[in-house]
Amino acid sequence: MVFAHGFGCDQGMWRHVAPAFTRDHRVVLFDHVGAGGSELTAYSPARHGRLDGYATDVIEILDALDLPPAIFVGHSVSAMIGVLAAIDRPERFERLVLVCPSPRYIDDGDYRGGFSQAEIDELLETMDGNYLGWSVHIAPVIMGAPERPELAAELASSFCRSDPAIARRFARTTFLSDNRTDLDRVRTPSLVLQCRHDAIAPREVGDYVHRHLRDSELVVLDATGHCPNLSVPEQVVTAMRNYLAGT
Amino acid sequence: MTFEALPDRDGGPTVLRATGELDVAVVPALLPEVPALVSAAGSVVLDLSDVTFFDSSGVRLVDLLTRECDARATPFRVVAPPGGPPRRVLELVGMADAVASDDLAAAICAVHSPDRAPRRPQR
Amino acid sequence: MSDDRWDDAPCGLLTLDRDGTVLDANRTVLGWLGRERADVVGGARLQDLLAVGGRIYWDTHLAPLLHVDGRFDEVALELVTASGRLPVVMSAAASPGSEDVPAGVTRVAIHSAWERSRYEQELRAARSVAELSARRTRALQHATAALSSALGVDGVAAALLAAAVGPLGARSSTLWLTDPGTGLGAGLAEGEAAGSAAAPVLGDLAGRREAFVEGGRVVVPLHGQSTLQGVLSLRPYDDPGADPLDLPVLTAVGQQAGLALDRAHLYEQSASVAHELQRSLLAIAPPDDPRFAVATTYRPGVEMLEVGGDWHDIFLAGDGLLALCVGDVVGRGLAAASAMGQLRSAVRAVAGPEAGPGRLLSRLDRFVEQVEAASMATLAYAELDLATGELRYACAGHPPPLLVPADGEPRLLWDGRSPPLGAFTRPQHRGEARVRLAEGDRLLLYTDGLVERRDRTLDEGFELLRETVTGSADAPLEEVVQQLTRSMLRDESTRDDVCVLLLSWNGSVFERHVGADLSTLSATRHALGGWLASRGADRDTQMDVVLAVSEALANAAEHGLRGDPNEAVRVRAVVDRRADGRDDVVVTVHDRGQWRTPDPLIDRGRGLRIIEALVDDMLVRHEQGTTVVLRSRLQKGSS
Repeated sequence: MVFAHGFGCDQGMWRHVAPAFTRDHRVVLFDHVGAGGSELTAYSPARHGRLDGYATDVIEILDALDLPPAIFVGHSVSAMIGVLAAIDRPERFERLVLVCPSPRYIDDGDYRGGFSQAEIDELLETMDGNYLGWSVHIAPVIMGAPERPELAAELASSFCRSDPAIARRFARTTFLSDNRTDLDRVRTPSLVLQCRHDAIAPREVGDYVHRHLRDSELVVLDATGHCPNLSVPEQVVTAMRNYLAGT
Repeated sequence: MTFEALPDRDGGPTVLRATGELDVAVVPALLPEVPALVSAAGSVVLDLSDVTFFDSSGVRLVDLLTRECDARATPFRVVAPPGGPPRRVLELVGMADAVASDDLAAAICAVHSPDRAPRRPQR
Repeated sequence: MSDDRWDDAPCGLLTLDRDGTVLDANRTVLGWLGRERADVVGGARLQDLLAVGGRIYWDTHLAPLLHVDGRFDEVALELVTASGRLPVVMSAAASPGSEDVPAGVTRVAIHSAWERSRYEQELRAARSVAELSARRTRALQHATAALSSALGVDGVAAALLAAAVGPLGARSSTLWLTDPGTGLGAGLAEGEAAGSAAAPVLGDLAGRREAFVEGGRVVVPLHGQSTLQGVLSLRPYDDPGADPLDLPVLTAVGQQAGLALDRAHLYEQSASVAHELQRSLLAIAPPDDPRFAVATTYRPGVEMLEVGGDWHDIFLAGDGLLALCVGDVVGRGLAAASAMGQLRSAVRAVAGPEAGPGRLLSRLDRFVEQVEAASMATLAYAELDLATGELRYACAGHPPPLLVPADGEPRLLWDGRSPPLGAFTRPQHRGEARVRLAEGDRLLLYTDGLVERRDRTLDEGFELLRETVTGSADAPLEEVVQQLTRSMLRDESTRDDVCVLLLSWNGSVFERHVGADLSTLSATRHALGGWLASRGADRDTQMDVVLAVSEALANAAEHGLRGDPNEAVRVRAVVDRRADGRDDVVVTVHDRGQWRTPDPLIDRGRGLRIIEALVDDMLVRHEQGTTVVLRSRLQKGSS
């Protein structure tokens, strides 16, 4: 079972979900290039300017570990990365679990992605503003959080840290991508997990994804926000267990 | 080149002595004198002992002398020492046997006794 | 909670539940928001109070942080207020739980960051300007460096295309160069199929000096000083994460490229003029004389756009005096080529039977004083007496000539050396040396490009030269020269010009003329006899040949000249080495008259019969007169 974090942070996002499956599965966690503890020199604007580039990275991981067909759990933009990888190398995938997926974030005619172009521009603007002092200010606080001694120093120090320039590009790549036409090319059976109130991947988007995937199930989680794997991990685990058992 | 007619001594032959090179440059000038020289002589010896170059021009001279002497029934010999240029060429053109003598004495002897001289082939 | 310390704190304070719903908000923050307590508390979520960017940021970064670390500090966001946007700095901490406050409640503190935000924005703007400027400078630097080191129009084109898909960041690119006659030439493409990009219309570009976007591509006109040199069209990456192409940088590069193309055209033009000049200077027709033969070659340096200063020359410096020269002017380009031309002419002007090699070089010292570009030129000069085979030679700083004997080992002629031309500050005597050539000997003059290599010493070069020519004494001259250049120049990379002159001395040839008055007939016979003797003929051969030739001469004079005082018969004799190694004497008697078949007169007929008896072979040719060729074995023996 391979877990892929989405835009925002790193593999730490799965801290409450992944352990539930370690008994029955070989669990693989990784940080995308440019996030967490990944090798920043592996980042290539040409390759990572497109989601296909990230999909290629995923395939490389699967090839390098030479896993049997995997259950790929992708959050947020990694859901679409998984979709692209499964189209490219279907033999490497047994199942897809898409957590809060969206094939396109910007509204387009009848399609409701949830945002306008201007709003996405504003997002990028905000990210720029924060990264001026982001890593400098956050790191000391995280590392030296006295009221949370149980937090492992490494995880704390790296969580949500990433190279500002890379993060900005990842944001552009994510929020400006359009992979709607890729959905019906997927052959792998999929589970779509959708939060009831998600500003980033609204209900309509989850429905859209579910409708356009050939073989999928949709589960709506009773949750607010975009990170059910952190806010309601037990619902996520249950939904996944039910889906996997039901096949 | 020199060419002189030595005066005959008491009934001896007229010796025509040539020295140097007989070639097309000098021979043509001698030819006109030949008839007169022959008619004045009882016998003729052409001495080519000191001729250093002899070619077809020289052959022409010998040829003319031979014809003139024949016409007057005047005995005629050519002194052409063996190995010398004149002898060589005369042999090449097949005239040596008829008129050549090895030295002056032999030539004089030959013209004095015409019946002892080898018969000349008829023209 | 309504407590003045809380409500009127100098910062905004809120408490939130797990979902982000506002449980309480103080008066300060409500004042900023311009909203009533009832609107906000219990109804809105914090995310809703933020601008959309902040909303997304909350869901993707801040909420997870709160989940994992339980806090975040000093995050810059914007509140949406009744009157607009308020930049703030926000910190939040999740409560561990106590009697008053249940676990899962988050406390949020918000500071107005108006000033700070302005300051940060300025810093950010400055930094992004600086980064942009640095990026632009780097891109411009890369592109400029590539353009200025490119050679020729092709080089500039290639450098420009490489820069387009390299430092300038395009996915692919096509370049069109203008052709004075036909407008835009064929496009050169990099990273895309040739012809896939639509060629721009020339007329549209005339007034445009800057890069512009058209049809999804960026078009960059390349203006030179006075004409449009070409157009570059770039296709950007269309990936969402890609940086757009930088138009100001492209405009600057376009200007550079236009000027670079200007320069490249000028360069190529001047190079071709120089090459023309060089070609015409080096085209020489060596004198025609059976006593010698010569083969020359000139190979321009590899990868040299400019002409070099090497030259060779061969001419008659006087009656029967053959002058040979190989030289090397310092430097390249038109200046060197022109100096070379002048020096070459100077050599011809100064050479003469009285001067000799040493004096000639001294006179050239004075010449180069006036022609700066010829200063320090090197020169190898030799004079060959065609009658005797004696060679006088002198070298001014030039590699030594190589003597290749017909029998024996090749050897370098190290005598007669002096410094390059113009090296003396005051006129100095220059030495010369002599060597006598034997029949069949060869002499090689060359420039240092033949022997100098970066990866081997000069001595090794000389050694290789000697080895290469060893055993070549009988091979045809042209073949030897080709083989030489092939062997010595095997490694063709970056070598200098090479000039080679190979002379073969055929030995003395007998030649005389006899006029219709035949006054020189006897002298000619004697001379021929002497010549035959000098060639080693025995007495019999001498006599036979002389006799035969005299007959032929007589014939020719009589029939060919017919007494014309202006005409003469030419007699020539050479020794000819046959393929089987036997030496023959070959005599040609030539007159300009027309013999008929020989007179039937017996006396002339005898002449021919004599000839036939004396020589091995006779033939008569009737072209432009009559030539009788007599051939007889050269029997050798002491006379």
